[in-house]
Amino acid sequence: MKILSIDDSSIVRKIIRGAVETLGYELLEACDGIEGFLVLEKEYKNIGLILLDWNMPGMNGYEFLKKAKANNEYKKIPVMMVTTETEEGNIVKSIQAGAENYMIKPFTIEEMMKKILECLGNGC
Amino acid sequence: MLIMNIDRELVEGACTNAVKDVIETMTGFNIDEHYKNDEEDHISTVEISGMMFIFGKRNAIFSLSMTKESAATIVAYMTGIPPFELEDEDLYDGVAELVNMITGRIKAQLINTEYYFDLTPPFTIVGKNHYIVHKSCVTNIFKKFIVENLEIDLKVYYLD
Repeated sequence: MKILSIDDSSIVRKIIRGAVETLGYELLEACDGIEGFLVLEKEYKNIGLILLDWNMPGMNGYEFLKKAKANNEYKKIPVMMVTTETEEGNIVKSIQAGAENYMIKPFTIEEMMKKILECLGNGC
Repeated sequence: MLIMNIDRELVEGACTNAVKDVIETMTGFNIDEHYKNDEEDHISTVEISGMMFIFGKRNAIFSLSMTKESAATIVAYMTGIPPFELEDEDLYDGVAELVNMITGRIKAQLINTEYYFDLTPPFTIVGKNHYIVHKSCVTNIFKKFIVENLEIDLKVYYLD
């Protein structure tokens, strides 16, 4: 199974890679929503979870989320927002748009691994 | 307490809490606030400055500055990648991401105050022995933190 990380920070993607590979999964990476859709097109059948940043140039995480959840092929893939965005209104907005889970940066690698397992085990 | 037209206790407290929360969570290091004042004798030369413009009712520039050695140590512990395997771009992106996380934590603490702001994309200024100088009359916050014997400078300069 593969996990897709969409984040404009290469360091965050490297931190997530550490957590994902420790759990024995493969990480796919994209630096914004547009690149995220390119990866999804090719790999959606193998992707079990999307970890999605909110604030990104190009297509941001919220735009990506709405578009992905409107697509019949992609909407079944659980999405966990991984973001510095703490505004309650925006958290609610992302849940209403279909995000299954929400993780606020900063996080420890252990917290990330626990959340990933939760999402994969229970569909978030 | 209001000094220089900002609530220093509120904003400085939010900055200190945010830096400690982010660095300690991401690296496991303990961090201490080492030094602070409002004088002009605190200019230190650094190699990497992560920066962000802050827009809200009060506009400001936020910066987090450190040496390359400090950045390498912190980013190595953030990622689990040994310092000698980190590229320069990793350090620049790592410092920018620290700024992103710290300002995110500050923002969360300042909700419902006049200092609440929107996050903008962080950026990084790189150069050996650079320093950031603002006009002396500008309302500012300066804090120095020590992580594992390494120094980090935090500055917030209000633009209005």
